[in-house]
Amino acid sequence: MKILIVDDSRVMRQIVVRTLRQAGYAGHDLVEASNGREGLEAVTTHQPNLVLSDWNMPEMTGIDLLQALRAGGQAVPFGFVTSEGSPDMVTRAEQAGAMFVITKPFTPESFRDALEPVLG
Amino acid sequence: LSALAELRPDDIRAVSADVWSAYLEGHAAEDCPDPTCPETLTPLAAPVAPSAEVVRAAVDILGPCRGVVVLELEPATAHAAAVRMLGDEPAELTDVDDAVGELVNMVGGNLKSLLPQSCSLGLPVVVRGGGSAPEARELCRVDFAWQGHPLRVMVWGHPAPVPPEPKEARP
Repeated sequence: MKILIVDDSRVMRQIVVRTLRQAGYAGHDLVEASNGREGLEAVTTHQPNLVLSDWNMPEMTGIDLLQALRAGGQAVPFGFVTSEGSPDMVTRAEQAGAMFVITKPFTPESFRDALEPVLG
Repeated sequence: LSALAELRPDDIRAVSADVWSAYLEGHAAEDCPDPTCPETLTPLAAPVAPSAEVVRAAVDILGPCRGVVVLELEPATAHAAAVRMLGDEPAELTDVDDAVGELVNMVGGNLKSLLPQSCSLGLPVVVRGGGSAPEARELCRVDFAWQGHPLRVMVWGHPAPVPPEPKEARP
């Protein structure tokens, strides 16, 4: 399986990679992008099985990325990994087609709970 | 002032402790359960004067609860935080700014989630050398120690925008 990680922070991408490993998803192919626009291109190029995206990013936000993917007919499973965990943002994410919202700071357990239905 | 004024030091303590516990305390704190362990983010009763070379990371809260969440720490502490967040790998200056920006982003995002009004978060900004924010005033602050060094988390409020005075009707 291929997972695309979209976050403007290199440090946070590294933490996400480490947490995926700790959660038991070490064997997956990981691709990174540093904003929504790069993420959009990476979905076309790499055809990932799952997108994990930050919400607030320069160039293109995570919610704009999700809406652009769905508008373009891309049904790739999509989840947010964000510090924006308020109920209204979770509702907005779900209405746009996100499968889950993982709130920062997260744990390997919260990754497992969210990713299990997608990655098994 | 905005709903940011409702945030209390206990909110800052709880949110900051969650962030530090997830990414900065690590096994070192588990090996050292004493609450005064230097690896544990420890609130200080008395404020500590900031270093002249303070690193300041700030993130705006936008919308009806307009203000700024600020993290101030010394350069060596900021570097130690970046190394820890990178999994004990070496950190360049850009990594340090990235790491402290993420820290304030997480603290700010979680504080914002406690507010009754729906607000949004800006992108974090990191500056070195401190200075004061124009038109901002401190609403809440907690001083901490981590790895034996002081750091502080603050909430600054911007005064609500004053509506323009109605122009006098011309005769």
